Amino acid sequence: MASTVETDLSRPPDTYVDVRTQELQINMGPQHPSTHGVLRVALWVDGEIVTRAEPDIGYLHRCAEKIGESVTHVQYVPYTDRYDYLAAMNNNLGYCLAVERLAELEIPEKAQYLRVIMSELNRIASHLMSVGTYGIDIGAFTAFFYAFREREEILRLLEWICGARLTYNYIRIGGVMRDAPQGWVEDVQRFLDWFEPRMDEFNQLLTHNHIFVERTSNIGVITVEQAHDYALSGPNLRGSGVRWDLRRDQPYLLYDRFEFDIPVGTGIKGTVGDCWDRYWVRILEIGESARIVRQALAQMPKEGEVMAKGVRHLAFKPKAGEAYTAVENPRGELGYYLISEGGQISYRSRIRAPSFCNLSILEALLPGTMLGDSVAIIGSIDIVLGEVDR
Amino acid sequence: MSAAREVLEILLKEGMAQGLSLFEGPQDPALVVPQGRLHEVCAHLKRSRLLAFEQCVLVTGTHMVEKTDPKGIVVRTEGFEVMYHLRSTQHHRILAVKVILPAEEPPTVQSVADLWRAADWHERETYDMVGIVFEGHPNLHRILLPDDWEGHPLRKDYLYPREYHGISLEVDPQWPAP
Repeated sequence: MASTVETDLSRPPDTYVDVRTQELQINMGPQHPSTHGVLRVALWVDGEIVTRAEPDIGYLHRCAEKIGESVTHVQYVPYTDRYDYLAAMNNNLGYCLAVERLAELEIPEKAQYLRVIMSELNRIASHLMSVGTYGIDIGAFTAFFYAFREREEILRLLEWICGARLTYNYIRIGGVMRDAPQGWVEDVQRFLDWFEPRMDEFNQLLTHNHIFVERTSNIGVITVEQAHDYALSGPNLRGSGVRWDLRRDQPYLLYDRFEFDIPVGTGIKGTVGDCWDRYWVRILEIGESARIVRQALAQMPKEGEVMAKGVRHLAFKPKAGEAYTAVENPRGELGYYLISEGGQISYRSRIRAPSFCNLSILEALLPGTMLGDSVAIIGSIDIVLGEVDR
Repeated sequence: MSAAREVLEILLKEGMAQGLSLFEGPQDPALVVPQGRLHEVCAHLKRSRLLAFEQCVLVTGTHMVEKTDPKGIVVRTEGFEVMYHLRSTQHHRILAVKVILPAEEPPTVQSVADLWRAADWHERETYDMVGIVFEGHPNLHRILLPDDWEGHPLRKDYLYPREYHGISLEVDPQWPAP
């Protein structure tokens, strides 16, 4: 782009036509609070307008795929917690399904129900975190505490069943770690009865707040073509109006037994695919997840095994082969592509992290927007850097 | 019927199947494309109305080492494999496309970053981790590791570095302290 533009100083000031200033490169991050972790975005700005953006990643890189080739399948499950640490249950689930597919294992029905309940509860917690911190990005601090109060209740339920609040390692290869303790199912019911009316409160506070809507509508618009081009998935894809959800379109576990809607962005407050639409899809998905949990609790058998036979030891070996298995994470399609040679350790374990693809669209979204809006756009993509860098 | 087989049949009808074959594994069959035809086939997979693969979900590079069976007969020679997972939301398909590369330095394959923008970062990561060079990529440099890193960690013959910018990476034999 042009740097300093020569202006004819002999003419009166109101006839200056070109008011472009010198282009400036600024660094957003890696310690910027609104980048949700250690992300650096190099921004080239012309006054207040962003002309070019380049995300720079890798600050949190731990070479997870190399670890996947060094430890056994069973040992690797706790590592999967650390990628998308806000939705660790879903990460466990994706990896376990991939290994079980290679091993052709049958999972007991009760374990499958517990897996569904866990991953949906974790989805609610993750989306609450996402919408809460998005409020902070925009400057609305209060809503964050409301979201955290609800999330805390979910973390308490998850802690009760598996002992951890963030990195659960509860879903294991062959089933789940243990059965739900006495009274847990009733407590989840009580939580849902308490929680669902609370979302109306949250919507009044933030979703339909005039200032919030003004800050988020009509900016960061992603078209359907763009969304597919950058392989977006999850709420970012659905925010653009594409009704695509792996839980319905490629059912795994028992998702074909439940009734739920797939919310998509419709441009209520502005344009289809703007920041508000992506936010709104997450809010609606919280309600749908709560619906799934209710149905799963009602259908779950009271008694039954929660672990397949002959798996609970470190020498577990799947059969030789290669398979790509994907699940719907709160942030999109989480896929594991495993190559096994029949040993205890996988030959190649490739992770398809949804945030990695979702983040790459920034280079197309930011140019042309105001500098202040860039924070709103990055927040609406909802990335977790642990998963981007792996 | 698996996606790869369906797609191969459509490609046969559309006259695009020269040199293509099917990799039959116990789980997912994959479409094997010769090195020189990758871009052409991918462009067709994206544009054909019957196929319409809009998304490039994942690009994986794997270093395959030589494998022998118990009798000592070579069943797989050394080389590289690049796997592309493509998705069509219209036709509800996910397709695995595989390119098998010989063990030459550097292993080179055509870039598909101009067809799907998502392939840009995936190819950079594959270059970073496995050292596969994507011809025609607009900006092929390391993405996760620092630019001055030596070697490609996911090669099977990768040696761990002993130090990086004066920081020792050796494990202290006295650790943990008694």
